[in-house]
Amino acid sequence: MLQGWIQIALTLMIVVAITPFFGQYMARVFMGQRTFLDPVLNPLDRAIFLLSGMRSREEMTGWQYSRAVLYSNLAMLMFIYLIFMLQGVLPFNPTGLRAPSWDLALHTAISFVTNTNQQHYSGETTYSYFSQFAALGFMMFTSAATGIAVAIAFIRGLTGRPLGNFYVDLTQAITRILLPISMVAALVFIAAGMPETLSGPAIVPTLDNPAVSQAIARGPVAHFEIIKELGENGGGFFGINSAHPFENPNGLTNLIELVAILSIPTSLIITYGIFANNLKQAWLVYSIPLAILVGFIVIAAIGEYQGNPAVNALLGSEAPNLEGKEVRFGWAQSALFAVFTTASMCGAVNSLHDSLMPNGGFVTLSNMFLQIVFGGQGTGTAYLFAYLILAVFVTGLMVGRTPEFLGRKIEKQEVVLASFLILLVHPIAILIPAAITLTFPEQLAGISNPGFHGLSQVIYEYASAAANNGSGLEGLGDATLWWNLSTSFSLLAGRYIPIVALLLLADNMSRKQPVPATAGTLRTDTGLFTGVTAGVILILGALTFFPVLALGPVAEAFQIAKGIG
Amino acid sequence: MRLPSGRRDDRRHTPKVNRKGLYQQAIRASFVKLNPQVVVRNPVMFVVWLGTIVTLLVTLDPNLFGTVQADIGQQRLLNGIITFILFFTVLFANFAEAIAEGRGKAQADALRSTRSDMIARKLLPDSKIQEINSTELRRGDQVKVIAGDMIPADGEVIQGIGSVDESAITGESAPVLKQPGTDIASSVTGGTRLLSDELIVRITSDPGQGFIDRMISLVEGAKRTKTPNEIALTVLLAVLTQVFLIVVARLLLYLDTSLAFWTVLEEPQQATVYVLEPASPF
Repeated sequence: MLQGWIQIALTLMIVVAITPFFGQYMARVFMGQRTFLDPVLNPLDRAIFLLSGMRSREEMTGWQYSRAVLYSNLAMLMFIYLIFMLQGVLPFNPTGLRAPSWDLALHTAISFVTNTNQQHYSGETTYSYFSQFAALGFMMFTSAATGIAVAIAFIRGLTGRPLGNFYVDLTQAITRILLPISMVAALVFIAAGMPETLSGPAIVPTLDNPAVSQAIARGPVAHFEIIKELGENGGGFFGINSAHPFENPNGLTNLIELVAILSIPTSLIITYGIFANNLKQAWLVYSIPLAILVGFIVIAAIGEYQGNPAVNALLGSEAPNLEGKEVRFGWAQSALFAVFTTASMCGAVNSLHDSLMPNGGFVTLSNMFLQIVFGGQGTGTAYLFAYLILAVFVTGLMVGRTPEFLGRKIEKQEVVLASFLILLVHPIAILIPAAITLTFPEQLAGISNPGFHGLSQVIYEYASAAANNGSGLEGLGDATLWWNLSTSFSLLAGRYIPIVALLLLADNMSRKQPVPATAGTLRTDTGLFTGVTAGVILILGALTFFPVLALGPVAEAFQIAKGIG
Repeated sequence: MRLPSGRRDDRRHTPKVNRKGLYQQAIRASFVKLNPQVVVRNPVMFVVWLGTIVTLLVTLDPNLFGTVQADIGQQRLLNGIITFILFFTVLFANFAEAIAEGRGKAQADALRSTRSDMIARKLLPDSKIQEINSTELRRGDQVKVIAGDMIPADGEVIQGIGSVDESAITGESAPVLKQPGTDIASSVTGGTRLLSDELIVRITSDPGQGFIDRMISLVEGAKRTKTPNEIALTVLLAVLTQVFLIVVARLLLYLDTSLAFWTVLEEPQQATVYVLEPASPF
């Protein structure tokens, strides 16, 4: 037991320890200051800008930035959809896979363009190597960079700067942040035993009967693997994702994956602190998701460690819940991975979330409902500050101070955008399609466990889509036309409506005349205000979904504890 | 320096506000405001009010919207408690609003009393003085004000120097020196009191449009526009109400799915899952 907790504590310490350095590095990149990669990358950037015809790199307004995001994402969506549909005639297809059904290809394309990577397929049997690295791998970089660019534009707006140019931010996020780290880590992964090959599946004789041979899927995995975690993508090369020995061979790769999952969302908060020239506030804000994360890890880990009471009764002793887990990772690293991956909207899994104890189900669902426990690539940080703006507004009115954030007044438009984007879009994108699905359980749902767990399965699928997480509470028959299309709606609504709202909010804030701080200003960098913000997050964000949690994982936990069913 | 003296209640700068009967009126008003036409103006409370009616109906007949598996008496008690809480919420909101309105009205009445029955000394073109009611003054008239008089309407000092007690409006108890020919110090406000000397004042506002009149209409709340913060708060609450409606409307379907399990078990009494009432955080 001690070993498990030490694994958890060490991983958390590494994650926290690298944030100041990484956050500072990102701030230098996006403030246009010198970084140590400049000698190599400046010519590369210039070449990219020259080739893509971006001669003028003027500042964009909120609308222009949003349009740039939407148009470029639409173009990428069509590009990868074409690759999927034409994969039968495209090269690097050793297993001779043909095009998937149109709705599966559409769902895959949308889910990768939205940085979600929800997979209603198994990579090794559905998509060719070319589709995997040219379409999926390409989107893993660009969709992650889109998230970073939006977060940086949001931070710039909040701190009173012009929003910047989307195409420049997108390029720099890839060349200066995602690409260098991915190159180094991919080499480490190859050294740790991951395959990186274009040759087809290995045909080997089985161990028990040398006369029988089996095909072992492989492919260009190592480079795919690191951006899967670093970019909060989560789409595995193989169907079972990071539980596959080729995607996650040992403890070292598991640790690197865990750290990579949280590194960018955590560091962006420090980046904000440098932009705002207020590191104290950044660390206080940082403490909110960190505290929630630690709490969630403890809840999930205790659940997995104590195991299933029904199984324990048969065993006659208490054993950790190892159903659906890789034994080499055990209860601690599996629980930790489950919490990290849902907290950061990564969606990679190294254990089957369907087999987590109800504690784990509660935590993973809550992570995706809140969306700010560090949250998705870039958007999580932006949501966190949108909550902060709402908290400033609410507390400002309560104590009779002018609600202002960083000297800029919060008025009707900001409240509309902030409340709309976090309070309204998310429940609509989750609860309404889930309600339609549950109205026709036989025809649409494909639930494998009826009852409380079935409700969790359906809600999880839509929560994962709307939060752009991408993990699945598998066991759900989700490769159907209805699931592909309805989750596509949640994916798009959960991604682009908030992004446009965030950019407009940032644009509004940047245009306001800052008021100098006086004794009457509501200070937002105090412990008290941070506590109030945490309260606002829990009340506004979590209360909405509490009934669903009560009927899903909470009810299931009581059911298992009482030994019914 | 002039220090205020005497009992605190006597040192009032603003006219005495009559608060008698405020609470009785507010209690009455809180029931009158249950009228749906009034409640609908506040969407958040209107939703609560509709909820009260629905829970009242299921208190009277728990089986109204489908058969309840729990004991009828218990279910009725639960529904009754929820009805009471919701009804009390609406009532209290009305009560608080009525108190605020009542206070505003009392304040307005007090202000108005300073203005009525004020006699102004109007200077006629032949420099004779005619005593008329202050409400008959028109813009451009000239009046003479002597120490101890109220200034009858908003105007501009054109002759004389005098100190004016403006505490009724500004709250500042120290008198302010008024003299002609300067921007700020030459304008006087109706309802303030001249403490020394004499002034000749040219009236600059027609009756009903002076500073005090605008103050009265402001506190009476008839034509009061909402402040930007109030509007923003209304938006936030409206969003929260919508979220609440979405969540609650879907709840029944989720319950069906979850409880499908229990009917299989034939132990329905163990599974009394009550509809949760997620309260609005405000």
